[in-house]
Amino acid sequence: MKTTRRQFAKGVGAVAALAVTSVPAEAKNADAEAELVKAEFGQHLNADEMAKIRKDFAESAPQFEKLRAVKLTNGDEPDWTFSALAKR
Amino acid sequence: MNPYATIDELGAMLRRKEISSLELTRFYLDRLEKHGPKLNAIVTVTRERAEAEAKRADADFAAGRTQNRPLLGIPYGVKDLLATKGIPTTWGAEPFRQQVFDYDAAVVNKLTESGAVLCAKLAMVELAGGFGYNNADASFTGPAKTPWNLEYWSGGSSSGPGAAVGAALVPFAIGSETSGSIITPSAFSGVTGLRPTYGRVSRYGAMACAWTLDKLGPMCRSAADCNHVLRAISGEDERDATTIGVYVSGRATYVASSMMLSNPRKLRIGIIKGSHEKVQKEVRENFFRSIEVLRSQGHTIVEEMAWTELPVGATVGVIVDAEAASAFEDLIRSGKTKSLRDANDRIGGFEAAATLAIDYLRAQRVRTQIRRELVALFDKVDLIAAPARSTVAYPIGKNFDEVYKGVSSGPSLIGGMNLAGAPAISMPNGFGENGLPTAVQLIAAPANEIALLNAAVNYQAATSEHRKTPPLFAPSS
Repeated sequence: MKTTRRQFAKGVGAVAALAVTSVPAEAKNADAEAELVKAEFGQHLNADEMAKIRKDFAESAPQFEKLRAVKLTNGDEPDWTFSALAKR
Repeated sequence: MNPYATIDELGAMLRRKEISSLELTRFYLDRLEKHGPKLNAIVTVTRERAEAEAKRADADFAAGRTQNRPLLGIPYGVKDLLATKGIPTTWGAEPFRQQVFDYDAAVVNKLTESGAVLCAKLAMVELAGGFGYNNADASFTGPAKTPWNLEYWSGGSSSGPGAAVGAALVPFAIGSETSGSIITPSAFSGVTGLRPTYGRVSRYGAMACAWTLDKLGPMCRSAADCNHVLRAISGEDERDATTIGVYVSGRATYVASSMMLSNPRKLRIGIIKGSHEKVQKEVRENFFRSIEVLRSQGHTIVEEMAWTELPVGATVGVIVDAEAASAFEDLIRSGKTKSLRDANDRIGGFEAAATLAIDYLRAQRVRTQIRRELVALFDKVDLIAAPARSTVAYPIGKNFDEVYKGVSSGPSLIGGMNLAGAPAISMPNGFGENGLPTAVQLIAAPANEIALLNAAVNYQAATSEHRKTPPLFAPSS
């Protein structure tokens, strides 16, 4: 098993927290993400599936905001490094 | 013939010429064909290749080419995400059912060189779960079942390796873990599974799910067996730039299990605060029984260790989403994800593909902080112990988020330690609801498999849960 955005949204308390902490900005982000999916892949998705996608994004928004709230400085690099001397 | 024999026990029989590798191989091939379908554990039984490899092993035995080859003549299976020349490699997914590669994955190559005998390509969750499945029925082969109770799942995404090793259809198997896919099926199926350090084992020829997280590792009857298999499959490979080589930080990377038994280490073993309080009752009771065994062996138990406050779940989630969406971009854009089995998987790729680059990079930057904090825990202790899973196996036929409500593993040790690239081992430690196995996991600092396996091998020398056999698949069955 592995965690994806949809699964961590379903962690203990996540849905309950949504009811309390859901704010217009998060809903707006969820709508924007859903619109992105629709624009890119809408030809493969029906209305029920788009509704499910919108719901998934809304449920994951509070956890997603925790990630976006972590303070990072300019010097905080990603946890991988490009190497000009790669083995292949 | 006891199909639940360990690699050492089978090897001794082969060396004493009580059985040939060909006979042993046919014995397990017959078990795979007889029991595999009941468990939905098999994609392909590789009888022709297996018999040819077994004959080569017997020739090596006859010629005395046996030194330092504990896997010589031993049958095994691999999760069906490892390329095997001329044999379908399906990734558990309908769109790839006809896929055939013309080469063997590096791990298969190494096992062939060691003399092991490939008997089966084993079932797995479609695309190793990269699109967020929410049900055991997430493979074109159907839901793999734990041999302890056929109404329950064997765990994922290495579902077939868990079920097949658990029912002794093969002595050992190779699974993969991005974030939990070895530890979970090992726990749910009652087998011992090792997640090696990230980079310890070459992934050349393995399906990519999330490049910065994917690892391959053994699922076996015992920690000693895992030690044998790890030695055979680890090492630097120029075809996988993440491989870390034989010598890491001046540490030896292999010590024979017999040496571990004669030189047990006294280690400091930590328990993370919150990691056991909300798990199922039997899981908790069995966990503390395991802790008492470890304490009785001279280890120092350090309780109430603090876990990171950083958002582990969100970080690993975004990384898996972004990398899996990229790895399977062609599949997503083609719309063929709609032929996947699980309802979440059918739309999950589209959701994952909406991950913004800036969010993915943020996750990798936060990961640096998480890794530093988690690796720093190993300044205080040598190992961390925790329940491998907070519950026993999930029932087949229900969505995961509909069952075991109110139960929680607390801090995400599996997600966090996968972000850190740290090795872990899951070992059976008793039973819980509905006759299903529970397990304890030990976790070590990256590249410290030696301490991990030393503790695990000695733990199993003092316990017997890993030798229990599921009644439905008794040795005589």
